[in-house]
Amino acid sequence: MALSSGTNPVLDGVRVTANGITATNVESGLNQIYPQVQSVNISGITNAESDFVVLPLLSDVPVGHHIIINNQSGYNIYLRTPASSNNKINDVDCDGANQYPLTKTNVLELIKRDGTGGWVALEHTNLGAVVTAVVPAAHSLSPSASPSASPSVSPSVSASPSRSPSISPSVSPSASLSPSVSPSVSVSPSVSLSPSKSPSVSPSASTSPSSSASPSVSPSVSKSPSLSPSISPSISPSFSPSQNP
Amino acid sequence: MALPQGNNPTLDGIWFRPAVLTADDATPTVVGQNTIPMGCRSVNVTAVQNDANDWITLPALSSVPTGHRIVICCNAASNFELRTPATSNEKINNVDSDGTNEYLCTDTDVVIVTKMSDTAGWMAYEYTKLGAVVSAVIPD
Repeated sequence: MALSSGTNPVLDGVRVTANGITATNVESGLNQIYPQVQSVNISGITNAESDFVVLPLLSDVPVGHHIIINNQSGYNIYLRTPASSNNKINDVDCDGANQYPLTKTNVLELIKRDGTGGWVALEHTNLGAVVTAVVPAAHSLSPSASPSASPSVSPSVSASPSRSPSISPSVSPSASLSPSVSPSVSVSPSVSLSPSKSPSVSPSASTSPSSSASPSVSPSVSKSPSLSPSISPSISPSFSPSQNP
Repeated sequence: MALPQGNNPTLDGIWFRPAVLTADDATPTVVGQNTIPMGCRSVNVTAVQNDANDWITLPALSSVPTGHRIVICCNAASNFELRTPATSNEKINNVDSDGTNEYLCTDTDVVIVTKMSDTAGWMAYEYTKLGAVVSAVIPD
């Protein structure tokens, strides 16, 4: 039904039904947003977070047409334009090589600017905050299981009093009966740049009184590793959906 | 055609045909040349008649309901201006924009105006083609 300008309806309200779709990894009826649709609810995914949904062709909708997409799939997924269409989102061709990341729980509004300029995407979080403009980009299909050797400069408050019971062997052979004036302080600083929750079991700070009857030269070597590097690799999942330009 | 409250339609989808306008340096007698028709929800400005001082005109506030929203796609290949009707004293972003002041529409941006009330006028916000929010524009 099309009404000409002179017969524009005046309505007290209009309800536009949300179109429920499911993201998947191929273009199909399952993940296609049809041209008439103005409201879309993404209710789930089929495979993985690399699944996507597909906008209608720009040529199938009028300038100014807007679509609101509510990502309730529970996953961060992607938004594409139809394959080989060269249609853009935020001035980037998004027909496959690049995609617009759809963050879960966010609401996205798309407005068709024109047939060549493509769609402008305006996004809000579920808190109502405006999301900084998103530049669609390629994304890695694997969820990036690289251990992410980011240094993780957490200060690690283990400032080395280290009440560990000093298992330092203190190899003092001891032979004399002299009363041993060597207190054997053994100041092992044990900085322990260990990130995160590594408990820092560096023996260190041996307060060993060294009651050995040693010949007073017992330095109490106390080979506590002290500067225990303890670089736990901080395996943050690092999903990084398509942040690579 | 008007439908009473109980008969609000439920639709699976809806389109609004855009009004295609050319900005101009005068208000023509024919609505639709550079004047946004009152029922219109989306506008495609495809050209300017002269230069970036040309303008398009919003409908009178009294002719549209509170909350009425218009999407203006700036595809004129030039900046242009947005005005309220001459001598109307109607505002955009709290500035009387009926001629002395005008709202600058930047080429390739999308401008969205929403009627707040007959006295408060229109609130306009804008996005670039990259999807970035444009700082609030003060008509001048």
